[in-house]
Amino acid sequence: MSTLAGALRAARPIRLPLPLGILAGGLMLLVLLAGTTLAPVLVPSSPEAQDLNAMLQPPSAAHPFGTDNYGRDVFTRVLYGAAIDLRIGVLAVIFPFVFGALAGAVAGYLGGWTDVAVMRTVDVITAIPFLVLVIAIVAFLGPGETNILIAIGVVEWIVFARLVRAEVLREKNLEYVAALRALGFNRWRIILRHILPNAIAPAVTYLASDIVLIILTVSTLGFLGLGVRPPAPEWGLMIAEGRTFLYTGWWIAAMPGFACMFAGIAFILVGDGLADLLRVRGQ
Amino acid sequence: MRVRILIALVTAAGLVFGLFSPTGAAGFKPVINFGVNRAAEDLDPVTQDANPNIWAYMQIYQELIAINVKGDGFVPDLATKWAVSPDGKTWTFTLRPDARFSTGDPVTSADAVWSLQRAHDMDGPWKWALESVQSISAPDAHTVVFTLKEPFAPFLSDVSLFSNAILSEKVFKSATHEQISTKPIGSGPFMLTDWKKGEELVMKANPYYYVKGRPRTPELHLRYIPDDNNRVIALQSGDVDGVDYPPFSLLSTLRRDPRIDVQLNPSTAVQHVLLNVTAAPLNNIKVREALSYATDRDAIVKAVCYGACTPATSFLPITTPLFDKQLKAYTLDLTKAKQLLQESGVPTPITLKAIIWSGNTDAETATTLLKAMWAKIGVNLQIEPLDRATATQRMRALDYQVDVSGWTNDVPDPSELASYEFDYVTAKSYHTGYKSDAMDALINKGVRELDLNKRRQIYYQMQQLAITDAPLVWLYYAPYTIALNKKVSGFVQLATGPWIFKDVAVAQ
Amino acid sequence: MLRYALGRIGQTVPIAFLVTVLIFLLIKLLPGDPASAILGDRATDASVAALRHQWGLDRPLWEQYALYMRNLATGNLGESLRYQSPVTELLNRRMPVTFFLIVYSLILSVLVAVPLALLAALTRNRWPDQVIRALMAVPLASPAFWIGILFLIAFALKLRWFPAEGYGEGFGDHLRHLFLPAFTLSYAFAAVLSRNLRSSLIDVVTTTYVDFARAKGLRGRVVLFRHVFRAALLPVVTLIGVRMSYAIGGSVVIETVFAIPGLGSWMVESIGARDYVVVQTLTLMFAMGAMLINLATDLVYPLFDPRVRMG
Repeated sequence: MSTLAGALRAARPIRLPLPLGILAGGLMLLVLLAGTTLAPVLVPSSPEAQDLNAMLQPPSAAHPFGTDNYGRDVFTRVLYGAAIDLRIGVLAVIFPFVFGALAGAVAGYLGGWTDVAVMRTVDVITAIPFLVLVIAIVAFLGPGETNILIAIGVVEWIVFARLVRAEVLREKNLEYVAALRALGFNRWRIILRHILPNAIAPAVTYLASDIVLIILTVSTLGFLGLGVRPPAPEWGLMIAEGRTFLYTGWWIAAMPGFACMFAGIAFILVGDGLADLLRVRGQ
Repeated sequence: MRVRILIALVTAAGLVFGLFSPTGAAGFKPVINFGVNRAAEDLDPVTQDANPNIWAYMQIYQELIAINVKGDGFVPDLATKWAVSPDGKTWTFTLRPDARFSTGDPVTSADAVWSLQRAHDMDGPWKWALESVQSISAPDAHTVVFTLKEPFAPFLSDVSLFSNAILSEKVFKSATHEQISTKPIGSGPFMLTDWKKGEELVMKANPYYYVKGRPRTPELHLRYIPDDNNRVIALQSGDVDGVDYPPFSLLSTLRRDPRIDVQLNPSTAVQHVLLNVTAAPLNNIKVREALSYATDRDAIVKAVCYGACTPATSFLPITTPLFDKQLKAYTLDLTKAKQLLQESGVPTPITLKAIIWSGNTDAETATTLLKAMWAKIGVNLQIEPLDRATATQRMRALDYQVDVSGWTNDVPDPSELASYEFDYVTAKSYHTGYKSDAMDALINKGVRELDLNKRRQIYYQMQQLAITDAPLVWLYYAPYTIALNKKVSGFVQLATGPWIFKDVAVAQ
Repeated sequence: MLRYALGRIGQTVPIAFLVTVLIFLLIKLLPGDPASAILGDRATDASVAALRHQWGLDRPLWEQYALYMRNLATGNLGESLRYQSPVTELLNRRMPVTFFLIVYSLILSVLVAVPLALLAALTRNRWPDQVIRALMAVPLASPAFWIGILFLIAFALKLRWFPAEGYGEGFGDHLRHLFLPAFTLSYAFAAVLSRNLRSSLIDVVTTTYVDFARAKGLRGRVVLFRHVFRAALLPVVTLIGVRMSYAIGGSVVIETVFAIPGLGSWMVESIGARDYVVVQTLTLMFAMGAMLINLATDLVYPLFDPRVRMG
């Protein structure tokens, strides 16, 4: 152990202008965005174009990711699928972020019954495992993009509420808040214009991780048949459809997963980099 | 001397152990392991219509007469002889004297009458099978007499239906529904010994079964392996000796495997598209005809069955008696389809909503293919996957437009499907809402006409009328796919679906 | 300490109660009727209505809820609508399977995460740390069911090292059958664990290491390790509590991928079959399980770190 530790200690640290995370992750995101916007130019055919004479073909020059059991080009579908998963990921995080931050700030600042009410609701929702609850809600509402947004909105806000509330509890005891109160500022004004901006940092850094979680949840729902409707090229749906062909066409299930992983890593790196940045600034 | 005695003793011990060892007949395995894609849930013959339930209890229960393998005739089961009176209204069945339930009790006509009366009276999916029956009686311990309301052509078919299984009156007369569903007692080759619901169903030989030497293998395990890949892997790794429904896409891979035998068993199945004809635009017959002409059945057969199926012509499955081989049915004709849509007066593009049960891969594939095909004539099909419960409910409530579904004849007679598919009273015409007086008349004549040739003409007319009215789009006839280890012999599957395990032996 | 414990337990009870109400309502609102689902396509309307009446599905909601709660209190978990069998009987068979899977995956996660986190913390910001962080980012970014499918293709289909499905008979067989699914689950959990562990280890190492850097040889190292490991255990314990919820959710999908006869796959099947009774009971069990583990970790926490103020 000592020789290993010695050798590791001797290795040089890496120096960069911005945290490595933001650079690498940002680059990956750019690639994804470019891919989705330029899709119609990059791949001439539609993701739903069937060619029954080219069923289940392995990856080749003509079809870099192979074809599925309808003869559809998997690369085209993965590219168009990026638009779906990314869109839902970003859209689905808006309501939880906004509503959660507000709820957390109000609960934290006002305290008393408001706090109890909000936090008990949070506890009840937390008690039920996230995926189980989302599955139950989507099963109730029915599959489809809008319903997924609703289900995630209903469940995911609690995380942001908790994060913001913790910060607000710390903030509200600071001197400037007492000063504002003494000056007779309306408490909503205090919450929204003064406290919230200072309390929002941890929630912002969590945004990126949450987008990843949402993309994974959308894929899982698609996999279970509760997500976006076929024949949309949503990644989770494609993996589920590919399951039947693990023997005869493993690329159908494998490729969308790699794409999902790529997107996920991009967001995580950006999120981590942002956290590092804020931590350095904070010090 | 002592050595000789020792050798003799050892040999004797070996023989003794050999006789009582768990191997059944010498050189064969004592257990059959069979992987199934759907689990049995409830084994009550009268109330259940799901195949996994039926095919499981068919190893345990018997009927008066059984359907033959080809699906076009009958063989004796519990009854050895049967005859009809000249006026066609009285049927007499003679029971074999040596049949016994797994409790040891003999099967008597009292058991038959009780079971059949229950099937006749109880509100269930098979009540129609004994609708023609006025009364059932047992003049003696081995005779069962049916008195019909009027002469009924499909009577024998209906009586052979699995829901008319003979249960032990003594055991079940005052039993709860739960008992009948979970603890069947029958006279067939097997009896239920252990049931891990949702996992495995274990049956052992009925010691009182009257056919000596049957079942050839004394123990049968039906293992629930819902995932297609896992089921095939289980077969290839030797975990199971056979599987049902290996996916069509894997058949060529399996055929290349020297250890595996693939069977394509003729079936009484047909895959079709239900259309809700009660609402626009599907209430317009030209729209429906256009859809039929726009459907490329050969392409569907290629992409769903990988060539193993037959494109559909008639509404009847191809193995049904009185199937019209010369029927002039729909073929792919896009020009005609577009022309019909124009003539219909309904403006394109037309949007139609299709529901599918998301567990059914073949239906999903077919629907996705139809979407691409119908898009060529300006019909936009939107797919809505639902779980089984919601899909069933929506279909029954006629809350859908398009629904790809499948049917299997349960009796070797066209009347079952004809009535379910075109008679509004029975099931709202297979939940399409179709109503036709002409069709109703044909259905009624069909069950009353005892002369075979005249009956054939009636059903030929019916098949033609179905083409003309086009309330459904018929897609293909699919065989049952089975994959077995080459060491398995004697496996048989009836055209109506049920497996027969009593003759199966698995070599070591 | 006792007051803290009682306080925490006291908080949990009303929440548990509210959870039962939420779950009950949610399940009742699911569209699709279990009676027609179970009786099938060809059932008559009369028989469907009769079955609904038999199951009490036509009574007012609050009455159904009261009946459900009363049954729960007496340990009667109801009868599966699909299998006509008591839920407890089915539960007794399937619960050990899921329990085995989750414990197996937790052990694997800890075995993988702790050494990696230690290594990352000791070589902070140098290349071993960067590599480990990148490696641990992968499962966080990928759908668990997809990783499971990849493992299935590689290790079960192609290499035939492990069985592709099922639970097996006997302890050794269970270990073999559940390795791939447990490893899939643990990969994701190990990633989270190692990230958090790395942070807390860094905090500990930077403060105490410098102090002991001057200490002589072996003694300093021994104390360092004892202190470091004690500090390491704390976040592991809390994380298990906090992330248990996600672990349980993950097991639902993994059981489906690997066809394991546990609670998760049963849950998915029961939702599809509209087996209300089972879905209700299972959701409740998942929730109660998660809450209990949370409670347990909250109660155990102060034992590890007496500096924590309670309340």
